[in-house]
Amino acid sequence: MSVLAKDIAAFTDMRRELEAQHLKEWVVFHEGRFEGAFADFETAAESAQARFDRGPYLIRQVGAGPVQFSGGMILRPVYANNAGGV
Amino acid sequence: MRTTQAGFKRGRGAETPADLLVKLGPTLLVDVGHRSRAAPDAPPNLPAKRIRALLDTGAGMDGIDETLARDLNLPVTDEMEISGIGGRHRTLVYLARLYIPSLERLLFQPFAGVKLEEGDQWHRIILGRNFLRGYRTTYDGTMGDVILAEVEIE
Repeated sequence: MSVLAKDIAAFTDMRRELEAQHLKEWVVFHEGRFEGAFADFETAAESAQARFDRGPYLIRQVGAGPVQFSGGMILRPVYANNAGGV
Repeated sequence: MRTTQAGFKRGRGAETPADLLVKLGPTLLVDVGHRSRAAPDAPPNLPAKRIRALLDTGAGMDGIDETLARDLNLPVTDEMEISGIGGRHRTLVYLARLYIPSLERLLFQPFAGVKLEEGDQWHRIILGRNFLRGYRTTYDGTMGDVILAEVEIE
């Protein structure tokens, strides 16, 4: 889980500055360097993809809280997964 | 206004469409990949086609099977903590394009890596509340029908 370690460390180091100047914007880091801030995720991703192709690169919204990903499907038993050709 | 069916029109053997909806959940077939190989004015042509996507009101973010993400060589764009009934764990976030032919809708967004194949799940994609926000969803459990209808968001 260290593929983005340099980028995440750089983001953490710059967090206060980013929150002051780019709150709610999407920022891109690559190779531990701040590469830009964008109004929305799609613009940030288009830019990162054009410049760094498959990366890795960090794209993160400044000031965003944690996301809950609760998986209701986990409750479905494995035996129910045979769709029988559906 | 586009609409699509995420339920089941036909049963199989003794199973009715309502049985299948209970067993499998609301499902869309989608295409997934890093880049489209189609001309700009043509529908997206993504490498992984007719991938099963579960509509999951329990998910606060969209997810992609980690094995599929690695097979497609999708870019890693973040790490995040997943919190749910299985406890907490960290996962990678992947950047992908996802096209829903029946809605003619292309998404270009982050997907949390989730272990669907490893968990012997039938689906390879989870579309959560963020996705559903743009649709009026009608779930008829008695008939096995799930209809998504586009709604103009003002």
